[in-house]
Amino acid sequence: MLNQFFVIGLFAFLILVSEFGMWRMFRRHHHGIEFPHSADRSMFRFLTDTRMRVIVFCHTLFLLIVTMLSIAIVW
Amino acid sequence: MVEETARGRPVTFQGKDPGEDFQFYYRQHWIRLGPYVLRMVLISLAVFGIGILLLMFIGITEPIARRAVLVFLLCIFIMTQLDFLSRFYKYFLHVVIITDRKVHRIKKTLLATNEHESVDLWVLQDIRKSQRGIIQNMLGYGTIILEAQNTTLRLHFTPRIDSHYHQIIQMRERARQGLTEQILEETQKPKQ
Repeated sequence: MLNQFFVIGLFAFLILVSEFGMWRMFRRHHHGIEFPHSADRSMFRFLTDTRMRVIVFCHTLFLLIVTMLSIAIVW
Repeated sequence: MVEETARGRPVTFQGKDPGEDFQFYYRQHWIRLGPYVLRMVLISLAVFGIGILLLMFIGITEPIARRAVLVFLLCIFIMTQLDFLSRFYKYFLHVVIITDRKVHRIKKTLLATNEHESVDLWVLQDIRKSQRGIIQNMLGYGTIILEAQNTTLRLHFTPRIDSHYHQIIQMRERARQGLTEQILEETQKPKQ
């Protein structure tokens, strides 16, 4: 059981660090090219800052759930 | 990604001259993400399929082998997802900005790339657009080629290419007109 929790923890740590690190880098690079909403007419114009955060949060949650479930079932 | 900034707030971006007035900007067509989405979905499905086949149906009785296969498949799955996420971010960091004087192309990645190319509108000798193939013509995207004396700037995956092409031509004419007026004003000054 210890091994199982250790592996789940390790994967969770790697996923969280990667997601958070990539988000921070994205925010750092993105700073300085921010625009008013009315200027964007692309397909992704609905992606405001808050919605982008929600998407990244959901993606992180998805990876965590898949990892935990598969380890819990198969281990 | 777009910030919900207040209207009227001056638009700033990397490499902007103080005298420049922002006109419009665009990112590449969404089809740019298509191959990466497809790759991510296919690899994820393959990993799930192989995992279910090996671990559920065939069944590996040896615990160490079973765990090794599981960890290996999970690593591939997570790497694929994170790779797609980095491509997704990269898509948002590639922006073409048109001001009243220049065309800027800002291209960044999370770690490795930070490119900024700009060309003055009034020096553009030739502005061309290229749409090759059925998909480009159906979805209305393509490449805009801006040629100046020594430089060529290619804007690939330009969405709504007809509209952007005409807007850039109009902006060039306005920039040239503005420059001519400025030169005329300066030449008339010493006479007064």
